[in-house]
Amino acid sequence: MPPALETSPSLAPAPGLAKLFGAFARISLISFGGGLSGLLYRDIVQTRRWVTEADFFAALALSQAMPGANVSNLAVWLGYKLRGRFGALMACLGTLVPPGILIIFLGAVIARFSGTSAGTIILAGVAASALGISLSMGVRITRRAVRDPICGVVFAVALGSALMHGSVVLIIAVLAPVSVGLAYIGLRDE
Amino acid sequence: MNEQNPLLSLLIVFVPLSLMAIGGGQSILGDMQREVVVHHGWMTAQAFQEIFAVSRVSPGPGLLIVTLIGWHVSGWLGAVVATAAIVVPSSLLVYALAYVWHSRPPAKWQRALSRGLAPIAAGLIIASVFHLLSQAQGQVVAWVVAIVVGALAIFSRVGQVLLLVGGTALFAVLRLF
Repeated sequence: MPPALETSPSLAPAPGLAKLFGAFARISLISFGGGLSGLLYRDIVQTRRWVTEADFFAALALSQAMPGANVSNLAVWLGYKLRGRFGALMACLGTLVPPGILIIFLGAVIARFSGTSAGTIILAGVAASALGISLSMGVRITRRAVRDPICGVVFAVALGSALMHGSVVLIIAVLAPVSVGLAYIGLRDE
Repeated sequence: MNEQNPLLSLLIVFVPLSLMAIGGGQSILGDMQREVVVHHGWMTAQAFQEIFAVSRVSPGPGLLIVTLIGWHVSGWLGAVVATAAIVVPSSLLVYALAYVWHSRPPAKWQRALSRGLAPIAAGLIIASVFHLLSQAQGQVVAWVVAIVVGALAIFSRVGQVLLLVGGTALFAVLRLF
């Protein structure tokens, strides 16, 4: 059964700081080659039910539009939402510190290991699978975000220009004011 | 260039980059390479490419390339300083917005922001997945695995570790046969 697209599902109680750190560290440590936000979505929203899908997607959209790495922005936002100031700190540290220590130790090893065929296949397989989970998140956020033809046009322009290797900064700088402005006008009419 | 204090140089390079990285770390990679290789001469272009490759196959967010650069320049302390320089400025901005956002009941501008940004986020997420898949090893196999795993993620409750392990096994089988 697909998880239902609920607007206010029954949420689990907010986790303690150690659990928050552990959850973000775990996700960060099992992600290879991109797709971290997809894994976070599946874990935090669908499995643990700490935040609603709507809140997660709002956080994701804002994290992308703000300067900084999307994943650390998302961790700060979700951590703050769950446990306030220290929650933001713990989620951010969990995302960065364990894999940060690992990357230094593994740096030399991975560089050598990735040349072997078994290593290459495993890393490429994990990366492709993680991208699949990101794709599923992309499909869900699209279904939720594209609620009228105007949103559809904004979505198509963002997708198309990004696929043609347009500058992400430029895409956001041009599209965001237009799209947010139109959303504001739309809300005024309701 | 004044290279007397490498830790200070790391701060001077990465703090501005932190605030320039709109839309994610990809947007500043070019500037980062220019600063690290050309401006400061911390490493060769070849070494930068290798570090980039390591950051792509290591677990964790892509921004950890900065951790490796910091380590290369000035050891463990360099790794900590460089990572903090790229993360703290942008995190403080997000923290400030999160604080304002949650300190009052949702106002109209907040709903307009999340509604207006959502379709852009959706387009950028899907585009970045396509982009990464088009460069992925295995080409068609990578696409097939991603689509199968994506479909399972949408239509089933399979846990994500199982999805990753199963997807990797499928990838290996398809590549080897």
